[in-house]
Amino acid sequence: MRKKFLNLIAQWCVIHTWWMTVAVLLLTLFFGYRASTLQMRTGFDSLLPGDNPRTAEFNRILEEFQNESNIMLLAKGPEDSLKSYARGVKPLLEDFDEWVASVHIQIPEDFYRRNALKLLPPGQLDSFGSMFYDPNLVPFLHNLNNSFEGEYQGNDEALNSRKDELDAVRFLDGLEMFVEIQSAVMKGVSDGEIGQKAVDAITFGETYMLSPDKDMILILIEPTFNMMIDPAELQRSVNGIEKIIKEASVPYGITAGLTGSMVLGRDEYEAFTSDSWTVSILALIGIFILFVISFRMWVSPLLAILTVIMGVTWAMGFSSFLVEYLSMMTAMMSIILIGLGIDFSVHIISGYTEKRNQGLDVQISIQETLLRFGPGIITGGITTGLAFLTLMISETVGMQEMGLMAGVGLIFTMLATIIILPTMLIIRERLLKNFNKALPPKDVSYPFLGRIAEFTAKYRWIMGIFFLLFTGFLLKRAVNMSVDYNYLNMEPVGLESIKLQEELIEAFDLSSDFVMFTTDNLDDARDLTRQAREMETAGWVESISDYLPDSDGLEKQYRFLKDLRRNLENREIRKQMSSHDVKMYRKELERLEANIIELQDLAFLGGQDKVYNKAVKLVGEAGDSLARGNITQFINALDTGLTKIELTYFQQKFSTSFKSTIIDMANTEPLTLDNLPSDIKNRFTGNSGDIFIINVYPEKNIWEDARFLYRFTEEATELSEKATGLPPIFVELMDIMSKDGKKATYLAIMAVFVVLLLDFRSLKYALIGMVPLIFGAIWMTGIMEISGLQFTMMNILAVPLIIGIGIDDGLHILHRWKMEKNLDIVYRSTGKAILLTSLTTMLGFGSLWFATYRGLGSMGIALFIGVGTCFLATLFIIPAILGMRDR
Amino acid sequence: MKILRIAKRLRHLVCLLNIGSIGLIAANMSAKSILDSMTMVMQPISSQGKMEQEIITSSDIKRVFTFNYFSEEKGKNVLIRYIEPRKVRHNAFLIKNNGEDIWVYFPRTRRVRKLASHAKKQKAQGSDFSYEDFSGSEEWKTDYRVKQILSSEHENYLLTLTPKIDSETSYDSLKIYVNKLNYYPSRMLYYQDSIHLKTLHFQDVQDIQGIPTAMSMRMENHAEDSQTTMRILEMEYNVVFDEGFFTERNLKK
Repeated sequence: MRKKFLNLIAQWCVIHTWWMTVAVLLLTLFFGYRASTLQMRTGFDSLLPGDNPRTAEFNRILEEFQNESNIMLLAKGPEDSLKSYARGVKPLLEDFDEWVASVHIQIPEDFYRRNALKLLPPGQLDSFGSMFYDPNLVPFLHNLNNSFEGEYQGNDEALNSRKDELDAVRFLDGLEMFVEIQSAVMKGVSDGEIGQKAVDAITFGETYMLSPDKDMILILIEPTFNMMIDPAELQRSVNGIEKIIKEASVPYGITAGLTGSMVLGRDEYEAFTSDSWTVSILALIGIFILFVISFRMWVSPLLAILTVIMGVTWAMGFSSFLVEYLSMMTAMMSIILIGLGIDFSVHIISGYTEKRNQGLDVQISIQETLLRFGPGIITGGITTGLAFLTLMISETVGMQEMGLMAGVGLIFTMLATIIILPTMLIIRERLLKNFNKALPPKDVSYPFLGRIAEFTAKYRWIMGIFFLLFTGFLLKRAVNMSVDYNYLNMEPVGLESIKLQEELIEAFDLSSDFVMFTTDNLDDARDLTRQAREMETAGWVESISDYLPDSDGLEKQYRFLKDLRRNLENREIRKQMSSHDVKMYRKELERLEANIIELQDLAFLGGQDKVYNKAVKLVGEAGDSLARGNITQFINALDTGLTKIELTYFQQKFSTSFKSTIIDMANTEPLTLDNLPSDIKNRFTGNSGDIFIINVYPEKNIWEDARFLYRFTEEATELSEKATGLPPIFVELMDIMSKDGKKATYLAIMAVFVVLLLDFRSLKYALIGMVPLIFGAIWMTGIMEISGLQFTMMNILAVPLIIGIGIDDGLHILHRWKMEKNLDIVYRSTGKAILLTSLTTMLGFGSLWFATYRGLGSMGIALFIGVGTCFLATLFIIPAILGMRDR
Repeated sequence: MKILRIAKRLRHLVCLLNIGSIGLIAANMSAKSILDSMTMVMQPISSQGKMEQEIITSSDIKRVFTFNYFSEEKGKNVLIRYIEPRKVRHNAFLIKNNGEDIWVYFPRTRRVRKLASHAKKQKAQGSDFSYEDFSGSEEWKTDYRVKQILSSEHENYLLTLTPKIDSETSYDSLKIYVNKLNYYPSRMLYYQDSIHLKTLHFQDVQDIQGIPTAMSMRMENHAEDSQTTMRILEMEYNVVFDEGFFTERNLKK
C-alpha cells in the first residue's frame, strides 16, 4: 500500500509534472484562503474546557458586568497636574462613546455627602460618631483626638489588615489636607470655600484615587466592549483609547499609560501576530543558510523552503476546518510545522542528491528516493503526528487544539512534502535540461558520523558506563526541575501594561488579577463579603453590601443619626475665639501630633510602611534635627504667626460648613438598591438586575509567590464553588495541564511504541527505537534544570512533544540499518540526514527564542535542547546497542 | 590502657542505662506531669536578656529589631524595651498577667497607652507571635486539658491540649512535641477553627545556667505563609528585679 502510493507519486511527478503542478497550486490557493480565516484569541480562559465552571462563570460575569474588564489608566506626575489631567481627559474619553461607556476619576462625592454616616459599621458609631457632635473647631479637635485614640491606641487591632492600613493612610491624608488648609488661613489666605474644603478633607479625605505619595493617579475607564470581542477589534479599540490618553497627557507634563486584563490581551495579541511573522522568517532564513552550507546548493534549499511553506499552508488551511481560532498555545503552530516539516524535505533532498550523485537518472533517482526514504518519512510523520494527537485526551481546550492541529498538521505537511517536493525537483531538472543526464558520481555523505558510530560500537562498554553515569546525573538534576507559576514571566519583556500593573499593586494594593464571586441576592452578598474579609490572603474586598447597610444595625444607626442631627441643630457656632480657646486649640493640635507619632511608631513596629511614610509627612521622624512634618511646622508657626482674628475666621468658616455638612449627612432617608447612584449600582449589579458581584483582591502580588497564589485560590474556592477570575482559572489550568502533560506523555510513549511495533514487526527493534527517546528526554530535562530554566505553562508541552519529535532519528537509523547492516554506511548517509533534520528543527524551534512573548521562547528553547539531546542519544546510544547485537 | 578502655565502656553502659531508665520512667509519666516538667523548664522564675526579632514589612522589606527582654513570675509579666533600630529606640511594651494587660510606652511623646484587653490574641508588632505567645505557658495548665498521644518521633513525647469548658483561649487546640531527655519543647503546633494555624520551632537549644534555652525560635504562620524568627543574643536567669520594675511607671524610665 505504502509502496504503491510512493511509486504512484514518483511516476506522476515525472510523467504528469505540469498537471501535478497545477493541482498543487490550486490546492495551495484554496488552503491559503482557508488559513487566512483563522483568527487569534488571547487569554487563559480560552484554554480551559468550555464547560469548566470557572470559565463559564467568568464568561457570564463578562457578559453581565461590563465594567469587570475595566481599563486602568495610571498617570504619574505632580499632584495638581494629575488632578487637572483627570478632569481634562474624562470628557475627551467619554466623547468616544463607541469605545468608552464611562470614566471614573473620583469617588462618588455626592453620594458620600448624603450617606457617609449611614455606611459606618454599627460597631464604629460610638468611636467615630462622637467626632461629629460639636461643630466648633476646638471641641471638634478634642473629639477627633478622642476618636483617634479610641481607634488606634485603645485597639491595636485597628492596623492589623491591609484594608486597615489603607484606611489609616486615607485618614492621615485627610488630616494632612486639613492642616494645610489651616496653615494657609494663618498665612492670610481667605477663600469662601475654605471651610467646606477643610470639612471635606476631614470627612471624605482625598476624593481622587491618588497613591499615598500623591504622585500617581488611578482612573478607571469602563469600555463599551469586553474581552469577548474579536482580538483585532480589541487591539483597535485599546490602541484608540491609549492614543487619546497619551496625547492628552502631554500638555500637563505628566506620563500616562494603560493596564488591566484587556490591555494585556491587546499586548499579547500584538506580540503573537508580530512574532508569528518575524519568527517564521527567521526560522526560514536560518534553515536556508544551513541547507546551502550542507548541500552546497542554492536551488534545492529554495525548493525545500517553498515546499514547507506550501505544506504548512495546507496544514493551517485544513486546521481551519478543525478549530475556530488560534489560541496562545496554537498561535505558533506554523513555526512548529516549519521546524518539523522541513525534515521531510531534508530526507528527500538528501536522498535524491545522493542517488543523483551515484550516477542514476532523474526518474530512477526520484523513485529510489521515495521508496528508500519514503517509508521512514511516512512512519516518522505518522508517529510524530500520533504522539501529538495523544494531547487530545487533555481536559484543556488549549492542549486539545494543540494536539489536533500539530498532529493533523504534521501528517498533512508530510503528505504535501511527498507530493510537492518531487514534483518541484523534476521541474528543476526539466528547466535545467538535466532530465536525461546522469551526474558524475560523488560522495556527499558525512564519514565522520560513520566513524563516531563505529567508535561507539567498538568501545560500547566504556561508552555505555559513561552514558549511564551521565544520564544518572542528569536524571538527578531533572527531578529537581521546578515550575514557574508567574505568568508575567511569559509575557513580552518591557511591556508598559505589566510595568504599570506592578506599580498599581505597589502603590494602590490593587491588582487587576482578583477573584470574583457572584450571588443572586443581597443577603448572600453580605454573608459572602463578610466571609471574604475573613480570608487570610484577602487584602481588599469590595461589594454592593458596602453601600447598603445591614438591616440588623439600622435601628441603632437611625437613632444615632437622629440624635446627632438634633444635637448639631442645637449647637451654636461660636463667633469669637478667646485666648483660652487659642491655648486649647494649640493643646489639641499637640495632642493630635502625639497621636500621629504614636500611630507612626506602632506602624514601624508592625511593619506598616505606608502608614509610617504617610505619618512622616505630618510629624517627621524620630531623630529629625529640624521639624519637617506639616503639623509640627504648623504648631511651631502658631507661636509667632497666630492671631486670634485668623483663627476666629477659620473657626466660623469651618464650623458653619461642618454643621451644615453633617446635618445633611445625618439624614434618615433609607439607602436601598433603587436609590444607589448608577455608577455604584452598575459596578456591582449585573445587567439582569439580580446578580451581585464581590471582588476580592489578594493581599500581595500573587505572581511573586506560587504558594500564596495557591492559598489565595484555595481560600476563595472554599468560600464559593463559583469563585472565578484569573487566579483560580490560572491555578486550575496549571493543575489540569500538569495532569494532562503526564497523561499525554504516557499515551504518546505507548502510541509511539505501538507504531514502531507495527512498522518493524519486531519487539527488539521497537524497544531499541525507544531508547534514544528515553535518554533524550532525561538529558533534555536535566540540561534545562542545569541551565536554570523552569517549567512554564507553555514549555511543559515540550515533554509530550519531544516524544513525538525525538522518535524520528532512531526510526530512520533503524530503517536504514535493516537494509544495510553496516553502521558506517547507516550513519554517514542517514546519519547526515538526521543531523540536518535535527539542526533544521532546532533552528525552527530555536527561532522561537526571539519571540517577544517569552512563553513561546521558553517552549522553543526546551524543544531546541530536546531535539539536540535526542539526536545525540541516537548517535551515541543506538550504535552501542546495535554493535552489541551485531556481535 | 586496658583499664581505661574498660572504664570507657562502663561509662557508656552507665549512660545508656541512665537514658534507658529515664525513658522507662518517662513512658509511665502522666501527660500532666510532662506538661508540668516542660513549663518548669521553659519558664524559669525570672530572666533578662537581649533578643532580636525579624519581620517582613508590608512593602516586603526585612526589618530587624533588637530589644531587651525581662520576665518574672514564670513569664506572667514581661517587659520589652527596644534598642534598635534608632526610630523605635526606648519604645517599650509591658505585658502583664499573661497578656491580659498590655501597655505601650512611646518615648517621643513620653506617653503610656494601654492596649485593649483582646489585643493579647493579636499579632505582636507585625510578627507572627501574638502577645499571648510572649507570655508564660502557665495558663496552659489552668485553661487546657492535656493528653498524651502516641508520638511517631522516638525522641519526643506528644501532648495535645484542648481548652477546658468556660475557659477563654486563643487556640482550639495545641500539639506539643516535648523532648524526652530535657523536657524542652521541640515544636508547638497551634490550631484555630480546626486549621493548623502556626508552628513554633525551638532551635539551637543551649544550656544556660543549667536551663535548656532555645537560642532561636521560629514561628511559622501557615495561614499567611509568613514566618518570624526571634533569636536570643544574651540571656540570664533567676534575676532579682526591683519592686515596681514591671509597672507602668517604670516603662518610662
